[in-house]
Amino acid sequence: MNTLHTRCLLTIVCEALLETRIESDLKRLGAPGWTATSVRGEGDRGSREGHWENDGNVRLEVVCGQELAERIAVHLHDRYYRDYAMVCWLSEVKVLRPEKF
Amino acid sequence: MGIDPVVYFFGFGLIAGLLRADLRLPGPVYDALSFLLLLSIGLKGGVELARHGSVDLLWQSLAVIGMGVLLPLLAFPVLRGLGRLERNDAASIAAHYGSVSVGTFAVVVSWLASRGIQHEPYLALFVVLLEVPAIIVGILLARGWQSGVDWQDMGRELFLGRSVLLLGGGLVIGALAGGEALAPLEPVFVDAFKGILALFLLEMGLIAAARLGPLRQYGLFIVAFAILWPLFSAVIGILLGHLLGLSPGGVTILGTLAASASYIAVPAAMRIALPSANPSLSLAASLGLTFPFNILFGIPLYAEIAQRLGGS
Repeated sequence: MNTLHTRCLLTIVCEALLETRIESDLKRLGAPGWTATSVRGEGDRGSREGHWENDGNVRLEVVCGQELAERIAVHLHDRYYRDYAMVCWLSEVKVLRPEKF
Repeated sequence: MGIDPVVYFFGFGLIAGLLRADLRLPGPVYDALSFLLLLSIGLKGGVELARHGSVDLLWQSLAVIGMGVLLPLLAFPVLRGLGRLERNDAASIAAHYGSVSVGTFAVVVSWLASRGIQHEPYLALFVVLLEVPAIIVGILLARGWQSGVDWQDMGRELFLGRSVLLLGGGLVIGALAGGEALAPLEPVFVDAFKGILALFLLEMGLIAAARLGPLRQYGLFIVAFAILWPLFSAVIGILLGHLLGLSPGGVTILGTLAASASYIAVPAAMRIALPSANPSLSLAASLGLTFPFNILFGIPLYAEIAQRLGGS
């Protein structure tokens, strides 16, 4: 079996309206890639049911090195947390091709 | 005279939503409906625009843009003074009420058609013209001239937002192609219009019901504002329509547009430009109250005033 390598999974859930902005931030900060999914849920900023364009959430997932993931998380915190519905978390994942992330 | 059947669909959605029924239109279906609705309105307006374009129309357009600037300027001091709202919230709500709701426009056009009341067929142009000015005024009211608004980014948001783009695109295509060339597209954009509108309104009823909940925590002022302000702004729209020499049907439409509040384009723009303004406050007012009020009670009332004014 191939050796597994440890990388960081950064998961961001936020207002769908921020998607393009955050994607350009990710690009600028050097994220190797990301996956976006439309999601819905509820939190302390109320229910976001995803019925229509102003009401949806998006989940962005980035697999990268620990240092970059932390840098992105700090940027998101400083730039968006105060005014927007947003959460993000980091977790450890195993990948097969470390050079990709 | 009975109620336009499309309004029953809205009522149905509203009641189902209030009963917390597990009814929802999938997001992509809602997107497709709103695409069709906006394009249909744009195309129809564009065809008529090419037919009726004149210098008069230019003056009318400028006056309508003026109204789009004036309405938020009038609403802002009321929201600040009487409502004691924070600056950003007042500016954001003023922008919502200065801009327009395409859904309300579709309902008033359908209402007039069902009663055989004629109107200038190119008024979709006014919907496009009224969407943007109030947003700019709202941002300026909140942040002033020297603020750090990224206008380039904001311009994208304003002019490349779905409703402005699709309505505007429809207008241009309609004007370029003309009615005859577009005839083969009619099954989708004309014949199906009422059915699409009915489904759209069903979904808007469900969404409006969800918006009514938060109203309880915002107090009486915002409820009163959401009902009374449209009456006041409708009078401004009606008087302007009358001054511009529109037919009673056209006056009704301009009155309804002035009374309507945006719940799609403006909330998205305000979220970016004034992120600290509370989005659920303005949406509760515009979508939870003003939209139902206008389509259930406002439109017949504005039509009545327009008819009397026209008959005098």
